[in-house]
Amino acid sequence: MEILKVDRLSFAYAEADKEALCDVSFALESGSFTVLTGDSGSGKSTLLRLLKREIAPRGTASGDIAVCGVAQNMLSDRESASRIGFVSQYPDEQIVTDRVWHELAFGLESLGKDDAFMRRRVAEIASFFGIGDWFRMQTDALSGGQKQLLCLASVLAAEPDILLLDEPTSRLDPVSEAEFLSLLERLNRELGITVLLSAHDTERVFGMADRVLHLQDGRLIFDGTPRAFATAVAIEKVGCLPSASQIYRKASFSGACPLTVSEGRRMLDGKTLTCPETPPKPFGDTVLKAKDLCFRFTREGKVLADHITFELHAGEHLCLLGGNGSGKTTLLRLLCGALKPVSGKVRAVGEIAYLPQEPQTLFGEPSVREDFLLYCKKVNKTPELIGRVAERIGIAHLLDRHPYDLSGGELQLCAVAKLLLQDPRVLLLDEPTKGLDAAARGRLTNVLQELTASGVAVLTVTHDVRFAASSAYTCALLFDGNLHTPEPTRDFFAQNRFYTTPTSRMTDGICILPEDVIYHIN
Amino acid sequence: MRELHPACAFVLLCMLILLSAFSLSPAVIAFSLCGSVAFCALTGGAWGQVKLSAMLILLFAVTNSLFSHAGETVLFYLNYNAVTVESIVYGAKIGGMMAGTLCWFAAFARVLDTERLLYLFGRVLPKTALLLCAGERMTLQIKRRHASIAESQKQALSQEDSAIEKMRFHARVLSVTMSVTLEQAVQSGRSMKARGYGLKGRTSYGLFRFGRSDALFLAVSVLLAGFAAAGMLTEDKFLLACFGVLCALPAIREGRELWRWRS
Repeated sequence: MEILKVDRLSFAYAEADKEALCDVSFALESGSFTVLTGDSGSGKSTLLRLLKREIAPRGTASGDIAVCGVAQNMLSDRESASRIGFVSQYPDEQIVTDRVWHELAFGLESLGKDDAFMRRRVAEIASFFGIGDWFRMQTDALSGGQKQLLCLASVLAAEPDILLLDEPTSRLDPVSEAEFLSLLERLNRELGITVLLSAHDTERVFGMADRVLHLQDGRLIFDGTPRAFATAVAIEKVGCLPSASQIYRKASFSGACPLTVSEGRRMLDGKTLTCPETPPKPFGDTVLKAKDLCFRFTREGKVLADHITFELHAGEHLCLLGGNGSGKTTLLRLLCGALKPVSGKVRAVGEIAYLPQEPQTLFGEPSVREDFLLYCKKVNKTPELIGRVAERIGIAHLLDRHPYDLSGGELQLCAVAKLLLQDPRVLLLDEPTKGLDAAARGRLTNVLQELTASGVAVLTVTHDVRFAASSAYTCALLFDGNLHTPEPTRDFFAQNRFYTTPTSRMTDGICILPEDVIYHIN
Repeated sequence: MRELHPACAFVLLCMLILLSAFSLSPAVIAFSLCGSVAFCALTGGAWGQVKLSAMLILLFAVTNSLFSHAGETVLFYLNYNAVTVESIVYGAKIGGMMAGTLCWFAAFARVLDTERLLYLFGRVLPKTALLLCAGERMTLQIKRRHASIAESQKQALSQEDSAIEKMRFHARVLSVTMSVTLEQAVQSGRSMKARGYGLKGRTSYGLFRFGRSDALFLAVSVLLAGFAAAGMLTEDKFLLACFGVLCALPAIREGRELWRWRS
């Protein structure tokens, strides 16, 4: 049965001169799992929001949307609210109430369900999602992954037929992401809920989905199975595919295109793999030195830094990897002086610039240029520097925009540019790839490479293994406040078995990035 | 008291507050003070309440005796004005009544936290109740966000900046916090609307269940309060004793819960 039918849908935002969506037609079968892909700005969010009447963007739309054969504008308010569920990429912003149990009941309260019904449904949902342990907690005390699970659970309480998810895992760490997606897969397989999910990271979702819709500049240019998409997508765009498919395409394998790590392993079975040699990068002098850093917030509190010792050299890009609560952000705050260590010392040569996890917190003026001007005055630099830095980072065209109107990737680059105005020797980055798509990550990697080539030392804390593998020179694992000795990136990922890139898993550590794989048939 | 249904606790404490505020009979004051202080002692300490009561009684006894000179038993003369036992006693009674009422308010605040109050009033005023608990969440978020924004922006603030510069820095942090909060409010609004907020006939979900023991407790306390009110009007000894029992109820209930969960 067709549960959702979109026919010749076009849409233009109120002030825009260009259409955000153009002539999009597709239909979803009941119980299907569909992934919506496309670059940032290709119209994924616009399309998803148009499908949910209550949150449709303002503008002029034409074409038809039908839910279970009923035109969207003929549905009653109650039906529309309950039959279509929507989860966005911001778990923090979606949560309305202060307690977990209340959040679960929120949708049911709105729909006017009676007490006995609500009790039963809330109990059911909480048990299915394993929320029992934190049922009475404050929503503010949850981790990002728990928050997103709660958002999904509270939407599901109203029993929707279709779930629309707008990049739901783009701001989660890999562990939470895996948990969220496996739950989503269960909902689809066990309860038959129709899922339409937009994603820019397809590593995991391609293995679950039975269909891919690909948008480009507001047009639907592909509609088919994930395998067909992985074979059909243009070679310069393979960056959006799972690692296994990337290897298949880049190294020109034949046969069926693999989508998951296990399929990729089977493809590489019996082939001799080699990896191009990269000469080790020469580093300059030590610019930042941490010695025996210890930190905890209270006497009885958790140890967040436990005798951390390391050196950072000019021109080095060091990535510290670790999960939630491993003390990543705390370490950066210790290094830049926002926190005082309990014991131990930080010695730095020159300025240290710190880019926090939410880059918008760095801005405060109505345009990027004005913000930069004010900052130049603060750090005693001439305004001419702004043009040079903007050119170097490639954000010259963004200078007159409002910081909050920029996309996540653009904002991140502007924040890096702002910090460069004070001419730092060390740049500290906290989760710089949160919410960025493959293209924006690539741009950030290029900018960081350019910076390190000019002698700036970069220290990134992240849980994004693929970003670390492609842009860091040295890596180390941070766990429970302990830092292991930094190693060259290739060795680090080759030796790790669990905390490593999908490519390294498929190739037993011979290669760590899809583009490195070279094979010979025995 | 925390194991009791919020409605029972609310009714009982409201009756205690009202009855204590409307009688100057020494027995009522004594019952009310003893009961409330005993309850506070069982729920995290009553030292503050004892101090407050003593101060109020002393204050009113002294001031009343200085300003009112009615009464037959003269103790001594102050500036040719008689200081009488009756006026001291009357002042002490007023102070005692106020202290008793205030102590019951303290007990009220200890039992009925925001969660319980929201549950009670969520049925009558569902929108206001939701606003309050969304507000509680917002406050926490804004506080945290303000701290993180201040930290990021601090990079632009040096030690030797003037006071005016520092003020401008704080204004900037505040304005950024506001913009980020507004931005987020739009997202929250969408999420509320997407889940059917604004449809007619909103209901309210509560965690508390009204059991048989709650009904029994409520009936007993209402009955006792009725007798006590009658006792205050007629000054019947037996009926006034009912007020004593009523005052003891919170402490007895709390004591029973503590005894059950003793380790």
